[in-house]
Amino acid sequence: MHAKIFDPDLIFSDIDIKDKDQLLDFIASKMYQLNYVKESYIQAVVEREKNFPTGIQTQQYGIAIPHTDIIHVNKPIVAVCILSNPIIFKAMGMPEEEVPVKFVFMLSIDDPNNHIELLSKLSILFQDKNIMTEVSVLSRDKIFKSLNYYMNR
Amino acid sequence: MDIKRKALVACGCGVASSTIVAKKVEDYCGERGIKVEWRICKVAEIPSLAEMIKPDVIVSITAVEDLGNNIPIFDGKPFLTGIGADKVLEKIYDAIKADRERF
Repeated sequence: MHAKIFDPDLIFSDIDIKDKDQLLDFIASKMYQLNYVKESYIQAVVEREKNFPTGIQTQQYGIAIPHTDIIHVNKPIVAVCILSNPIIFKAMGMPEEEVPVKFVFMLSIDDPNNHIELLSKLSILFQDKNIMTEVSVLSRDKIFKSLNYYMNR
Repeated sequence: MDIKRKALVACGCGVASSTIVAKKVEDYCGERGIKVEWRICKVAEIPSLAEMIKPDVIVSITAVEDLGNNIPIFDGKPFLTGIGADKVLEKIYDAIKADRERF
């Protein structure tokens, strides 16, 4: 048995948002509506991304893993957004650099010690260009199934 | 495993990225016979925690200034991008393994 990692209602593709803050607000608001995070998470995640950006340029794709302090979290989940037109994020640890982000994994983590495997597997997943390429062309429900498969194998 | 070492791992939030980095360091060193106990923190907490837990290495996502206490500091970004992670792991392992005067 595996803990729930993704929620089909928190898998997004084909959304028409071009602005990073709007995108973060959009995903975080959905997480709030589904009770995974407190309302305060929405603003907190936008602010956190400004101060400590999470853009990651992997070998093939730009990834972002927006998240914020655990006090804003109710339940752990990973929201996924795949962008057909990448949005520019700042790079994690190098705010002077920009990363065109195609995959956003917004995290609500309540206790990092309980999610070491999840975070570790997620990093292996988003660094794998073959998997990410495969996932990027799927429909929403298939993205959910595919990501679950790769996270639980 | 009879060798135990401590690592302090920092990122902006002290939640996700630092956990990813810490686990990779733990696994790599564990496979080579060194048990690494790690603690994650926010970047701002590095000086006080370094003083408190006296880690053998510090790994940080954001650039940090040398603390002047002889603790080697490594860049954690390659663990996120996947680019150059093996090289950093080797360096961290060498530093963690090395016998040296610890404060």
